[in-house]
Amino acid sequence: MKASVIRRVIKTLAVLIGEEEGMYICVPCSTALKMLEKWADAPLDNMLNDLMREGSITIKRVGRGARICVKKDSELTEIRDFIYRSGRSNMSLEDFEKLFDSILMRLRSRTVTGFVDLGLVKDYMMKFHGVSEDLFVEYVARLAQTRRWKYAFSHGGSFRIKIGNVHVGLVKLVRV
Amino acid sequence: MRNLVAASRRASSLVGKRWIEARDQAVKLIRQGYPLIAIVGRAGCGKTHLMLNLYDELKEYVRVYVDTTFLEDRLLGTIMSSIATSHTVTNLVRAAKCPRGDATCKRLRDLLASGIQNLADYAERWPTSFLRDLMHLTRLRNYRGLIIFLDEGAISSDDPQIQQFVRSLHAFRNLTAEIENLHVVFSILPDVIEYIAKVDAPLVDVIRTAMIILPDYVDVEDIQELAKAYPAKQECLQRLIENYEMLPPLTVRQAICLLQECENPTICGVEEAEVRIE
Repeated sequence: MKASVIRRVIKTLAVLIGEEEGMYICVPCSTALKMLEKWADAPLDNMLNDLMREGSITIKRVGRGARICVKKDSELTEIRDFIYRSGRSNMSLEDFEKLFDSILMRLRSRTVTGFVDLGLVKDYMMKFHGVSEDLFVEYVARLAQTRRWKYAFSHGGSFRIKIGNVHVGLVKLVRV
Repeated sequence: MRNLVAASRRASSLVGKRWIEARDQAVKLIRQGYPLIAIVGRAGCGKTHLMLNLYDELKEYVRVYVDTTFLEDRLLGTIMSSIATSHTVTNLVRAAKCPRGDATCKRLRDLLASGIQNLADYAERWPTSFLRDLMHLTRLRNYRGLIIFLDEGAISSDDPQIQQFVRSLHAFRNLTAEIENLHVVFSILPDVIEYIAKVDAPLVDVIRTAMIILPDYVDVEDIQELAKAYPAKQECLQRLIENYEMLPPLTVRQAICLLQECENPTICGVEEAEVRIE
């Protein structure tokens, strides 16, 4: 089996059961290996070493165990969008707005200033509501246009979109 | 385009009811003895202007304003070195009448007399000692205390020097606990303080006790006041008020800009949304 297939299997696993760690999504090594053994017809160690060499994955030690961490690249985004698009990608703008507002209100208590990281909102919507990244970007942009008085955007954050001529990554619900 | 950046020559005027309330609250916090005061707000919401206004207001204190964008780094020593070479401090040291046997006062006088660089070096190498000496002079001249205004400590959470800034703020937090009547007032962007909350929670616990969050947007009343205080075209004022509900929440800077350039809102950062992933 080609390393490229194993790479896609690992990335799919990461999307489905992984935990986000900055620029990576990590899966416990034991879980990943159990799954990969079913697919691999060559020694797994060699395949994993190849993937590490090409920079697709990295192994992080955690206590006595280890985790396989996959870099968030375009291939991973593509897999994630493919999986979640089959979910609720047909969500209307009205439903999105209600969900977006309720998440903002919930997350604002965790902030110091009331400005919520758009990246956090995006991840939450993707993970629990099946909203794809493309849809998220499109709808936030439309909300910024149609509900102009409602949201204040600011610089920063872990996921940035361009609204007007500025890149923003923080959002605050200023008028409901 | 004029008046889009805060300047000390306009610092004495402050418009907007909520900004005046914020100023009054900051003055109260300082006079009540709070050591670390954060002025929080998104870019263009009037943080620097408020700091300059406070500088103007609190004349019973020795006040030093540091625009950290002029500094090479954000280390405590560099900040103190900049304070040492400020007009305020050099004038304070020069004018000090040292009582007989006052070694601290004499040390500062001698250092300055031997060249301003020597005073700067002393402040950079021994920032804590320099700050204590400075406080000694402040008391000697019967000032109520010392206020350090730190502006633009980190220009964003991506600023490569943000870690140094956080460490310096933490050091100031520890110093203000030991040195009475020392206050540090600093401006900070939302993304920077959210970053600090992740990397230095104990610091944010202290910052929260005296944090002033400036309004995120101007209302119609604020726009009318701004039009009186800043250059404004009458037709722009009218258009701005008529279309207020159609506009995104405007910062002070955007409002001042639109009052002069309503035909071309793009240059004020206000336009139809266009979205692109960075």
